[in-house]
Amino acid sequence: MNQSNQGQQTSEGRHEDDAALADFLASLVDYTPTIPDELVEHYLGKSGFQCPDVRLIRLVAVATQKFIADVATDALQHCKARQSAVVKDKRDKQQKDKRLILTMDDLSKSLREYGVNVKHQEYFADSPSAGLDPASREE
Amino acid sequence: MKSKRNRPPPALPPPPPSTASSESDYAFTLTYTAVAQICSSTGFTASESPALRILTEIATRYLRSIAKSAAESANSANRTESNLTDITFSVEALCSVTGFPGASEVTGSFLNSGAVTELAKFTEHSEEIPFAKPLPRKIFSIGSEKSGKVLGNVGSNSNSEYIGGERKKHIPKWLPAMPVIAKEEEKGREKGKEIWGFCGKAKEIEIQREKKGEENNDRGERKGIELALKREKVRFKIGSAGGSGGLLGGGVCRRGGIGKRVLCENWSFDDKNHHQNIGTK
Repeated sequence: MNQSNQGQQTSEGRHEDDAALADFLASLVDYTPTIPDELVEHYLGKSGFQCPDVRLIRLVAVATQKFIADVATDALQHCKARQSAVVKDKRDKQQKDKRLILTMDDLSKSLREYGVNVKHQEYFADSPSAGLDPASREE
Repeated sequence: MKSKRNRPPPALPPPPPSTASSESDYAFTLTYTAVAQICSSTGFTASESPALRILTEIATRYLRSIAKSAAESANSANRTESNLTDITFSVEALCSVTGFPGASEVTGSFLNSGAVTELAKFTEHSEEIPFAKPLPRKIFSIGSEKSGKVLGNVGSNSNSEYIGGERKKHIPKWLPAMPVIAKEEEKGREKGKEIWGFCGKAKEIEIQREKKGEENNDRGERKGIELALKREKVRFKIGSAGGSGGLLGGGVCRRGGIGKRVLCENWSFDDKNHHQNIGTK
């Protein structure tokens, strides 16, 4: 609705934009974001944000949800691409075709596109002998 | 083929980090669940625990940075409450990393902001996934209302301890638990109008909760709203000297102040006569 009116005159277009925005805000009253309102309020309030309007709170929730969904979708694409690249190892492919797992590698790749640099440890050694050979560990 | 799948799955959405000891842990756990839901809605079947933790952390920071920039822009415009403009600008600022339609237009108004339009599309086209479990209202916003509940049930003896432990230290003990907000809330509910701060958002779910029949809690809260500590009546007598001098200074009192009446006791006769003389003259 919004885009169809872009070619029209400015005042009309602005009016339409206004109406579209009002519609969107009104639709937020019935929309339930995945991130609950209380949680958003909590975090917003912690950062000094005050707003009496539920719709704006939900707008923020939707924005966050969209961001996370975008990141997750990108990570999913990375995951799929990585899986399709490894065709040689048949066993690996068959196993992973069924399940898509959000891994740190995919996540850090997708987050890099959003300006977030994630550095993570390759692994944590839970005991001093964790990285040693199994043979030497048993001794 | 099947036998290969006997391996246990690498990581199903793991249980959220043990017990929520503090409020921030609790908030983190809730966000964790929400983020896991979002991830599963995009098509993931499972997730590594650290990846999900990082994503949760990023979601939290995203929320906070929206709030921070919106609050800052509201403050710079001499407002305390953020409005749609502030949020639009902060969302645009955060989206500017990846870009959004219309970002290059300098003169575009916030009404047709590309970022917000994308949000609108997102709500239209994406599936609506409510949070896994309905949350009790006011878990965060009005913590002391909970204390009202506790006070109502347990009794007023635990009052001081509870208040002393839970409330902020600068609030005197004798103040009841957040009465102003709760009362405003009730008023606002009656009027059906916009109210301040957190209470406004509490309205709808408050009503739902009442429908569910949690009247006991409400009663408890209302108990908590009223003054918990009974205090003795205090009476003041204003200066016995003034009382004794009342007869003498009766005439003086009407013209002068109370303090004068007490002080002028010695020469009030003269004073009285003087004034009477003036009066008669």
